[in-house]
Amino acid sequence: MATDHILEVENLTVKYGPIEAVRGTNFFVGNQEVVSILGANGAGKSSTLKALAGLIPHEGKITFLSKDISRTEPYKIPYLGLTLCPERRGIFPDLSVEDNLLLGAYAIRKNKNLIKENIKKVYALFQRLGERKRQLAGTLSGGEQQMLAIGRALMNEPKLLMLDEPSLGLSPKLVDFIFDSLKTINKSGTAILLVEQNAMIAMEISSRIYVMQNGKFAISGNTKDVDFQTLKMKYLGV
Amino acid sequence: MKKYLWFIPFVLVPLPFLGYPFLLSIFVLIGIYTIAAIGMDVLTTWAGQISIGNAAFFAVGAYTSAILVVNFHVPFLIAFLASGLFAMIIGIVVGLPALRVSGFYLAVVTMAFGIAVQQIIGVFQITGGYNGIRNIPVPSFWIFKASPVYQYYIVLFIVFLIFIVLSRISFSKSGLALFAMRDSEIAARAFGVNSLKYKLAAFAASAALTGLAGSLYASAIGFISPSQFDLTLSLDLLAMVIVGGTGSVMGVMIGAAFFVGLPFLLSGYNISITIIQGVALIVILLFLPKGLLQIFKITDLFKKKVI
Repeated sequence: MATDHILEVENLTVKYGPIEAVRGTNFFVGNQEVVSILGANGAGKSSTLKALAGLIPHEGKITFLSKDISRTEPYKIPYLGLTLCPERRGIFPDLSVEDNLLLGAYAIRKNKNLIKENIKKVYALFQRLGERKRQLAGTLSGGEQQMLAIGRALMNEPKLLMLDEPSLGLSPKLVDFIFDSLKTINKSGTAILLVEQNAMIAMEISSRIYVMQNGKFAISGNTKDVDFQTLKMKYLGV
Repeated sequence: MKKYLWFIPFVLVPLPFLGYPFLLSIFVLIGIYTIAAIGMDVLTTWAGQISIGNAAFFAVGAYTSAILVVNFHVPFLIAFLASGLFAMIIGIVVGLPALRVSGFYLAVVTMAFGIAVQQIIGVFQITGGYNGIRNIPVPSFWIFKASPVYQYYIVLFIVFLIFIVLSRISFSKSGLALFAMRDSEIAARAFGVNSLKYKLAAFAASAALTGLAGSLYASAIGFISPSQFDLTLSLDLLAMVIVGGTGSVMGVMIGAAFFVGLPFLLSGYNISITIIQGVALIVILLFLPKGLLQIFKITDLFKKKVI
């Protein structure tokens, strides 16, 4: 196994009863790389991320930072530096913005100085959050909630950040802003594994893409080698 | 310090009623039910789980305490702590399998547990079967004689201790993890919260508090039998939290006062308590959906929202 691969997945299978959502996929994420998994609804993208975070039963081998995490309990995974920013944001609506961030730092809760530093970093990246830190998260706008979800995921200093549909339900302008932030996050050294339906914007920031169809990868390769038009027509159904 | 100040009026409450031991004993009962309802509040409002079997923990506490005091002549303080501990152990044993389900399923599982415990108690010799246990002595220590005033202050002190502990937890990292789990379990787990552990802790704490309340109940009433710990009690505990106001000891206290105090207030008149209580419940939930505690925060309606 190449040592510059932060995440290596072999033969990942996810089943919901008799239905196979993910059918034996193989992929990897390199150090400080941005990789996207694209595909239409129900292709198995979100299931892949949930399986990596240990949240759903799965088969196959998942290696993160040279450690086999296929059987690791979900609550232990963030401690290793692998953080999922869940679909539909999964923010805690009845907690304040700052409490949401503090919970994001649950895995590093012993290190108070680091938490303070990270909160500052998040507020520098998303100033809106800093302005609203006492507000209940449920009262934020959709865009702010997405910022909060990403900011919260950054709190425990992930080495690999997994994002599930960060563009969901946002205006084009906000989507641009969110993806610019992802670029900034990546530049500071965090690898990103992105699941997206919005293929165009995802391809802008990714070095490599995997296109998923019926639980398998139909296309994989460097972003610049993939023809966007064929991809759109054949696999994304738009 | 400021958050403790609202307890001061409760220290003064019994003073005008010193000559009315019956009224004082109702205040004592309100306090006891407050403790049990706090146990329910921890489970529902804090952890987002539900139980309609908490009467079972109340019964476990009451019987543990009564049996230890009556049959084994154990000092009340030890019996009291033992009843909380035993209820907590039962809570963990039941919670481990039960908390794998949630929502309606958990409601049904806990209900079944509540009914089962009531039946089991009725079968055993040591619990006095369906006849129950009589003449449970009222505890007295040192200069404190067994009077309602003294019981009132003991119960108030216990509520105060619980309040301190709970408010500490609510501002701690564990409290944060618990609330996060309630809001979005998937996200909380994705950030490293061991959700089963926290759910179980909430269930155990709920059982322990309810058990402690049961112990106090047994010695305050002096007589216990299985019929006192039926489904109605479980539902009343849940309703106390909702009627009073979730997530606050003050609210829960108001809910307990409503459920315990109202029947006594109306007992002099020849009207059905159930009907009055039912109508009052509907009116409260219609006009004060956040519970009776809202009355005391009426000024909030005139303030501009800060956020």
